[in-house]
Amino acid sequence: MIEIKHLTKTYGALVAVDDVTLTIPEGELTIVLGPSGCGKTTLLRAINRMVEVDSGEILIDSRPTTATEPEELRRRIGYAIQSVGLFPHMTVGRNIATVPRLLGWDKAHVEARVAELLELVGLEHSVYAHKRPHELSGGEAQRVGVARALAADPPILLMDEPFGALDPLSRERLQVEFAALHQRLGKTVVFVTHDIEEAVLLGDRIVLMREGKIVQVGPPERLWQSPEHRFVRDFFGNEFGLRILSRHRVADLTLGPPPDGDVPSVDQETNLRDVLALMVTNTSDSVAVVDRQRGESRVTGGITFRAVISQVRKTA
Amino acid sequence: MTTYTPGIRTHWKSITVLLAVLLVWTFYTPGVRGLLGLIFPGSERVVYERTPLWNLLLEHLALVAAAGTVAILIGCAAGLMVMSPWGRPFRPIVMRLANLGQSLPTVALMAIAVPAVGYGSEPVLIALVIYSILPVMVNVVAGIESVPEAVVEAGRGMGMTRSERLLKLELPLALPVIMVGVRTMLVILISAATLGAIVGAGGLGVPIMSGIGAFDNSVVAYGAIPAILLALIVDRAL
Repeated sequence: MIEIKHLTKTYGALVAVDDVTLTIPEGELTIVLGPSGCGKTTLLRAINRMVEVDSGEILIDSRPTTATEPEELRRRIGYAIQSVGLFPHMTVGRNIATVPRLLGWDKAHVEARVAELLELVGLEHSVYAHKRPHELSGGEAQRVGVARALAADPPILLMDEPFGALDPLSRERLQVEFAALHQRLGKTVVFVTHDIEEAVLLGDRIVLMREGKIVQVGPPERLWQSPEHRFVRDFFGNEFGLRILSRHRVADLTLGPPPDGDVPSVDQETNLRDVLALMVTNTSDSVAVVDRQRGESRVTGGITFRAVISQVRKTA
Repeated sequence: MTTYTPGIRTHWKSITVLLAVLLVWTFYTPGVRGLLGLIFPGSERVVYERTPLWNLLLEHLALVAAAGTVAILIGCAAGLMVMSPWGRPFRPIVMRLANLGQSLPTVALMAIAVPAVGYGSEPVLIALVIYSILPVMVNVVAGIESVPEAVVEAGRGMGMTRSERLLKLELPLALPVIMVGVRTMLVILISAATLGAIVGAGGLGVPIMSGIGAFDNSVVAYGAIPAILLALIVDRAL
C-alpha cells in the first residue's frame, strides 16, 4: 500500500502538486489521469523519489520513502516510461537484467529470470534475448521495457504513459495484454496517462487530477455515474458510458434466449462496446452469442440492446 | 529509434601497408637515399645522418604518447567535470580556456614555456598538452550530451547511482564520439610535435628543421614522410 500525505511540489511559481493526499491500495491498477501539466507525472515520480518534494510524505507499507537511500528504494520499485529508455548499447537480455545485476543476483539466477520475463511479455527468448534495441519495433521495445521494470519482481510498478508512443493497433493489443498480466501478477500498479480510453479500459481506480489537485478518485463506473465535480463530466465527455462498456465482456452478462433470424454473432470474450458497435453496424437490436470452443461454434444464447444497457447501470 | 554503431573503425589492410612503408623508410636508409636522390637530384646531403631515423621516430612517438596521454586524462577529467552537477557552472569558462589553448600557435606556446622550464622536451610537452586538451574535452562533452535523456532517466529510475549511470550508460554511449576527439587530437599532435625540434626536444622535426635551415628539401622530406605515415596510421587505427 502506498500512502501519499499532503504532498506538495513547486517549480518556481508553478505548483505542480498541491497538497495531495491519496492512498493507493495493494494489488490494484491505479490510473492517474488528467490534462497535461496537471501534476500527474510529478506525483508518480515523487513515489520513487525521482522528484524530491517540498513538503508532505509518502509511505510504502507504512515506511516513509525517505527512510532508505533513493537508489535502494528505486531498485525495489519497477519503473517504465513512455520513451522506454532501453539502453542502446546492451542486448535485450542485458537490458532486462539491469536491476537484478544491480542487486547482485548470481548469473544463473539472472539468466533464468530474463528467460522467464521474455516469455511473460510474449517474446521468444532465443529470438529476442540477443537483439539490440534498435532492431525492435515500437511494440516489442515497449514489451521489453515492461519486462525490464518487472525484472526484480518488485511489488510496485510505476508506469508513465508506457504505451503513449505506440501506434493505435499495438497500443490496444499491449493494453489488453497488460491488463491480463496485471490480473495474473497482482502488482500494485500506478499508471499515468492522459488517454481517457486507456484509463477507463485499464483502471481498477482512476485518480483524476487538475492543476495539481485531485478532483475525484474511484472506479471508472463511479466517476461516470456520480461525478463529484463538473470537471469530471467535462473531462470524460459524452462517450464516457461507451468507454465504460469496453470494460465488460459478454461473459459478465446473463444470456437471454438465442435470437431469431439473421443477427450478427459474438463470443464470450467480446467486450460490450464492440457488441454495441456490431448492433449499430447491422441495425440489429440483438446479437447471438456463440461458443467457439473445440473448433466448432454453437449458439448458446443472445443479448439484446436492453441487456447491455442494464448491465452498465448495474456495475455503476 | 536511435541506432548504436561502435566508433572503432578498423582498416587492417591499409594499416598494414602504411606500417610496412614506415618500417622500410625507417630502417632501409640506402633505399630511401636512392629514392630521395632521384626525386631531389640537386640535394647535397639527401638524408639526415647525425641521428638514426629510428631514434628520431621513437623520440617522436614518446612525445606524442606522453602529451596524448596527459591530454586525454585532463580532457576527460575537464569534460566530465563540466558535465557534473557541481561543475556545470564552470562550463563556459573551462571551454573558453580550452579554446584559448588551441587558438594559440604551438610555437608561441613553446616560446612562452622555454623561459619557464628551459630547453628540451618539457616546453614541448607543455605546449602540446595545452594544445590538445580542447578536442578531447569538447568530444567528451558532446558525447555525453548525445546520450538520450530517456536512457539516463530510465537508469536513474531503476536505481543506478550517479557513478553507475556514468560508467554503464553515459561513457559507453559517448565512447564513439570521444574516440573521434582522441583521433583528431593525436593526428594534430603528430604534426605539431615536429615543431619540438626548434627547442631541442628531438623527434622527426629534427631532419625537417635541419633541411629547412640548409634549403635542402630532400632532408625535409626524409623527416616529413614518416610523420605523415604515422598520422595516417593513427587516423585509421582508431
